[in-house]
Amino acid sequence: MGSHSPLNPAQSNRVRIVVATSVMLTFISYWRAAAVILNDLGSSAFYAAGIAEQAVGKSAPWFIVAVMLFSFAVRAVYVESCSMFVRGGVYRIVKEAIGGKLAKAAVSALMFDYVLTGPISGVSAGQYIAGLINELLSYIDSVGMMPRAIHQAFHGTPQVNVSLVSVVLAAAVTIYYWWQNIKGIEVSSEKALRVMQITTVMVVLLLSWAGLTLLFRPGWRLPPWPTPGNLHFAPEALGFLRGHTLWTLFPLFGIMMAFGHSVLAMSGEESLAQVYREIAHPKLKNLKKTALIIAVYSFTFTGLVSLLAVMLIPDAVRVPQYKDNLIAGLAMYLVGPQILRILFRVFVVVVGFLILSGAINTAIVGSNGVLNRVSEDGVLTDWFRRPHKRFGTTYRIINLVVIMQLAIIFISHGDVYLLGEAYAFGVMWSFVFNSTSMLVLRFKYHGERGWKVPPNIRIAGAEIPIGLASVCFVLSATAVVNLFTKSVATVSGLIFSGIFFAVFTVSERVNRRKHAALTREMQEHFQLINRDTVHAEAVGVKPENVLVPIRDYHAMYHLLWALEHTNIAEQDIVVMSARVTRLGAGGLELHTEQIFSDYEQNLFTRAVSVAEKAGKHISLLVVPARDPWSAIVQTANQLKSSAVITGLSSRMSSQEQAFLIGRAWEAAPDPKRQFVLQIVRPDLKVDTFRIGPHAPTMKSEDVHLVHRLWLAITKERGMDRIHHSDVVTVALTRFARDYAGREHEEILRELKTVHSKEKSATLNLPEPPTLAAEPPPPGDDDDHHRTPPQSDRPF
Amino acid sequence: MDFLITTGIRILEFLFFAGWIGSFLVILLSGIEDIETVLNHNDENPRQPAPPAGDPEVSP
Repeated sequence: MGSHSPLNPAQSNRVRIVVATSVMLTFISYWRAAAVILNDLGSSAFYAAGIAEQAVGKSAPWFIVAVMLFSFAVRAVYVESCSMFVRGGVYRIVKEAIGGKLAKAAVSALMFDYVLTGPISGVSAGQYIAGLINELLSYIDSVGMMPRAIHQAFHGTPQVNVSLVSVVLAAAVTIYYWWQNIKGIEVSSEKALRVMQITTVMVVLLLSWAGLTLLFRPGWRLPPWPTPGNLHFAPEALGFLRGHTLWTLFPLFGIMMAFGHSVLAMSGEESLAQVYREIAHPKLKNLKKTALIIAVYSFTFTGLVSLLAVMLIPDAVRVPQYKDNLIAGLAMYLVGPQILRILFRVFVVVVGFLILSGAINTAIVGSNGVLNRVSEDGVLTDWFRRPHKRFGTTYRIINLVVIMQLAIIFISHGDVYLLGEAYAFGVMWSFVFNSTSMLVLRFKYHGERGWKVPPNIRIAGAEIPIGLASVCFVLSATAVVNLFTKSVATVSGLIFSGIFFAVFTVSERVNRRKHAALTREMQEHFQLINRDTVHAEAVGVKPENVLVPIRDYHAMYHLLWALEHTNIAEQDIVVMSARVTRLGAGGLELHTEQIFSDYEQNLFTRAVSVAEKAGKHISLLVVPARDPWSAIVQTANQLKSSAVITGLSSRMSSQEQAFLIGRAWEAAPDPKRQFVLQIVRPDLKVDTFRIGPHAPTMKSEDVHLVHRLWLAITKERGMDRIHHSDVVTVALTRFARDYAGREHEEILRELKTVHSKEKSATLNLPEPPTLAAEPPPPGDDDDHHRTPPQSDRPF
Repeated sequence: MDFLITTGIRILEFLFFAGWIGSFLVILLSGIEDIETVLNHNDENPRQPAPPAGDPEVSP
C-alpha cells in the first residue's frame, strides 16, 4: 500500500481515527431556549385546569396556582443540576448520585412522561377543534343559516363526535410528526419562538379581555379557597383510597391529594436540562434568565387562566361542556358581541393546535433523545440506533415511541382526563429521582458547581441544604400520595416503567457481552485517538485539505469521486463522520465508545476499503455534533479545508443542501474561512458552490461596462489615477445607499427582472463544456455549475 | 395497621408542609437573585456597536 495506503504507515497496520470528544454545537439565546421549553410547558395550560377541577372540585385553580408557584423552586433544582453537568438531565444526575439501576428506573419514568405527552397534547388539540366545530354548527343553526334538510337529517343541530375527532386528529398529527422525525427535520428554535410569540398575543388578549369582563360584569366570585372543607373529590380521584375512610380523618392529607392531582401543570421542566447545553454564553446566567422566563410565563398563563375560567364560566357549563377545552370556554364567556367571541375562540383553537401539536413533536424528539442517550451509554443495544438507510435517523427508536403513542391514543378513546391522570406518574417520579439525586450529590459530588439552591446553612462545618431538601420533601410526599390516589397512573406507570426497565436491563447485559467482542475487534483494526478539539495538526493533515463527510456506507460515490479528482500530493483528504447527538442525548463531553459505535466502525471500514481500491491515503475523523451542517462547517474551518465534497442528500436538492451549509457558515463563530462546496450526485454530476463571502461571477458585458465607465472617468480632469476597483466601490456604495432609501422597492423589482431574464437565457444555453478546466467559478450560493469529472483536478 | 397508616400519613404531612415552608424560602431567595441577574443584564452582555445604517462593508 505504501504511501498510498489509507492506513497510517507510521503506526501499526491499524487504521488511525481521530475522535473529537467535544460536541460541535450552535448556540441559542435565552429567549429561544425559553420558547423551546414553553412549547412543552405552556401546552399544559390547555388541559391541566380542566383535569384538576374534575378531580378535586371548584377550588382546583388555587392548586394549579400553587403548582405553578412551586415550579419556581423546581426550576432552581434544575439550574443547580445544569451548573454541575452541562447536560444535567435526569439520567446523568441519577446515575452520578445513586447508580445505573435507579438511573434506568428514572429514565423509564421519564419515558412514560414523554410517551404520554404526545397523546394528551394531540387529544386535547382534538377536543378544542371538535368543540369549536360544534359551537360553529350551533351558531349557524341558531341564526337560521343551517339548511333545513341538514337540520332534519340530523334531527336537530348536527354535532361531530368529539372523542372520535380527538382520536383521529391526535393520530394524524402524531403520524405527521413521526414522518418528520424519520426524515430528520430538526426542531427549529425559530419556529418555537414564533409559536410562543403568537401564544403571547393570545395570552395578552385573553387576560386583558378577561380583566375588562371582570370590570363590566359584576357578580363574579373567586374560586372557593383551597381548604379541606372545599375539596370535593370525584370517586375516581380517590384511587385505591376509594371505600376507605381513615384518610378523611386527616384534613391536610386532602390538600396533598389535591396538589398531587394538579402537578401535571408543571410537566416540561426536564426540557430545561435538555436545552441547557445549547444556551449561549454566559451559560449559567442565561440559563437563569431562561428559567425565570418560563416560570413567570407559565405562572401567568396556566395559573391565571385557571383562576379566570372558574371566575367567568358559569358552573352549569364549565365542567359539563368545557372541561376539556377550558380556554375556549373562557373565550365564549368574555364580554362583547358573540361573533367577536367566536372569532377569538377560533384564534384560541389555532394557537392551541400550534402549541399542542408542537408538544407532540417535542415528545417524539425528547423520547428519541433520551433513548439515544441511554443507548449511547450501552443501556440499549445498537440495534435501536441503526440509522435509517435514506435519512440517517434513528428510525427504530422513533417507530417504537410513535407506536406506543398511537396505541395510547386509541386506548384512551380521546379521554383527556384519563390521560392526564396517568401522565402525572412520569412527571412526578422523574422530578423525585432528580431532586433526591441532587440532594445526594450535595454530599457526594465535589466537582465544579456554579450555583446552589438557597438557603444553605452551616452547622458544625457541615452544610445543610435546606432549600434543596425542602423541594425534595414536597415532591417525594406528593409522589407517594399520588401512588394511592391516582390508581390509573400507578398501575399504568408501574407496568410501563417496569417493561422499560426490564428492556434496559436485558439490553445492557446483551450489550456488555457484545461490546467486549466489539472492543477487541476494534482494537485489532482501529486505533482511536481522542482529541478535545479538531485542528489540522491533530488530524495530521496540511491546511487546504479536502473534507469528505460520509454517513451511509451504501452511498460512498462522493468519496470515490473525491479520491479520483484529488491529487493527494497537493491536498490531503479527510473523511469525516458527524455523530449526531440529538436533543436530550449526551453532554458536551462524550466517551469514545459513545461516539465511535459499531456503526461508525462499519462506516469507516467501508471508507477505508474504497480508499484502498483507489490507492490513496485518507485521514479519518469522527466528530460528535448536534447538527450535521454545523459540524461540517466547523470541522472545515478548524481543519482549514479548502473544499468540502459531499453526496447529494436524499431529502433535498443540492441548492437546499448548500443553503443549509451556507446558513451554518453564517452562524459559525469567527474566525472562519471560505471554502468550495461540491455536491456529488449519484450519477457523478457535481454542483459547485462557494461558501462564505466571495467575488461574484461577472458577466462579460458587466466587465465591459465597468471598463467603459473607467475609460470615461479617467478622461475627466484629475481622474487619470482611478482604478476599475474604485468604480466598483463607488457603484456599490451608491447602490447600498439607494437600497436603504426610497428606491428599495424599485431595486428589488429590477433585480427580479434581471434574474428572470438570466434564468431563461441559461435554460436555452447548452452546458458549458470548458468550465471544468478552470477553478470553480465564483458564484452566489444559489448559483451552481455542473462540472464533468476530470482526473486529478485540484479544488 | 391503623397505627402504621396514621404514622405514615403524619410523616407525609410533615414532609409536605415543612417542605413548602422551605420551598417558599427557595422561591424568595432565588427570586431576589433573578431580579439581580435581570438588572445586571447590560453589564454582562455588552452590545457590539452596530455598523452605521446604509453603510455596508465594501471590499476594496
